Amino acid sequence: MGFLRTLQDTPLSHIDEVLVALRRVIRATDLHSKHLAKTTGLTAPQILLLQAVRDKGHVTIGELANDISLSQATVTTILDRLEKRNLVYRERSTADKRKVHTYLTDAGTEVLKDAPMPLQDHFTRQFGDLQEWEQTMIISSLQRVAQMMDAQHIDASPVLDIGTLDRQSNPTEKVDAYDK
Amino acid sequence: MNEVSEPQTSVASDSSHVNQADHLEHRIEEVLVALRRVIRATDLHSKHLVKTTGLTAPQMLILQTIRNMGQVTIGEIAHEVSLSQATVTTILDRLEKRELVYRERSLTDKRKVHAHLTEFADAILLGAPIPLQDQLTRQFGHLKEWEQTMLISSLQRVAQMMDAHEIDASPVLDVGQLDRHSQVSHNGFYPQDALSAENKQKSKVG
Repeated sequence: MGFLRTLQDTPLSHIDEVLVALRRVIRATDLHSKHLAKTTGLTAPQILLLQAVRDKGHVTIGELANDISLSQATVTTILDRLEKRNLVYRERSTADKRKVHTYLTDAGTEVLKDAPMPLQDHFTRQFGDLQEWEQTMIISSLQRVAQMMDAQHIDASPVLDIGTLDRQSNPTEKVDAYDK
Repeated sequence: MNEVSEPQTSVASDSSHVNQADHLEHRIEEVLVALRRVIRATDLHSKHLVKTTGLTAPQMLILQTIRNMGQVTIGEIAHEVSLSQATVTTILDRLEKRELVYRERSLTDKRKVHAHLTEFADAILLGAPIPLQDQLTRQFGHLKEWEQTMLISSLQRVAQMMDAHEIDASPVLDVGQLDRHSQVSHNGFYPQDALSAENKQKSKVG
């Protein structure tokens, strides 16, 4: 009992502060992806991809994959889905017949207009505004936290919310990451 | 016989200027990958936990708390794991249904009810993987004070950059399904309807 009482009187301990902050970050991505799904019916990677198609114009799958840092296979899967929903279409390049370019349909353009800003863009913009030293501190801190979770070797894309994508690609492999 | 070694004149590194934009892009990639790793780690770990024990992280946490504290009331458990009493009660109900805990009125104070582990629960705890949260807590405890402080401010800064600093959150890494029951404070970036929709969805689950 004495132990409990002392706990009560102390402010949030350091580790609790870490856990709360981490939990907030995790919840934020979770809440945001739900909000995105609800307002647009799309996942964050789908939105990112649509944006990349819009911003780059005349773009091949390889270029898209490179731009949003996902594999070509993943990008192809997402594009297939977006094409089925009539948000993008693909057309062979007139200049180079070997290349296929992806374009937004009118519906695709429309969806993007109303879509909320992906959390990742919001975050990225704010991160870009930080001083160099603060960026460095944040990167090393996060890497340290990942290390303390034994997560430093986990395969991860620089995409905050991979959404269902993540869940569909080899689920066993992922669960086993901690099975060793 | 004296071999004069040729002075190494060619410097390996190309001293080309690092493009400012590329540099920032690289940093953004680093920060996103690190964040993604942390998020994935909790996700993977909770899947692993469910796979090996059939329990969620908060269920596990509560079982451990009962084991570690002995004679413990719901209020004490709630305080220890930093969840609400209502939440702890819901979890205990579920654990009781699965015959992992039982509740008994205190012999010394009839107004109190204590939760106890069944033998079955003891066995499960023995075989269970260490919760990610415990691992993190242990490692964090080994850090120097200044490093702890730095990590905390960095994480708080990240939460702020996601406009998430006002989101209601327990100091429990993986709240699992629970999370969905708790009330949520909100700010501009996470529209209220998204939050309440989440709550509705959750009550269906529960």
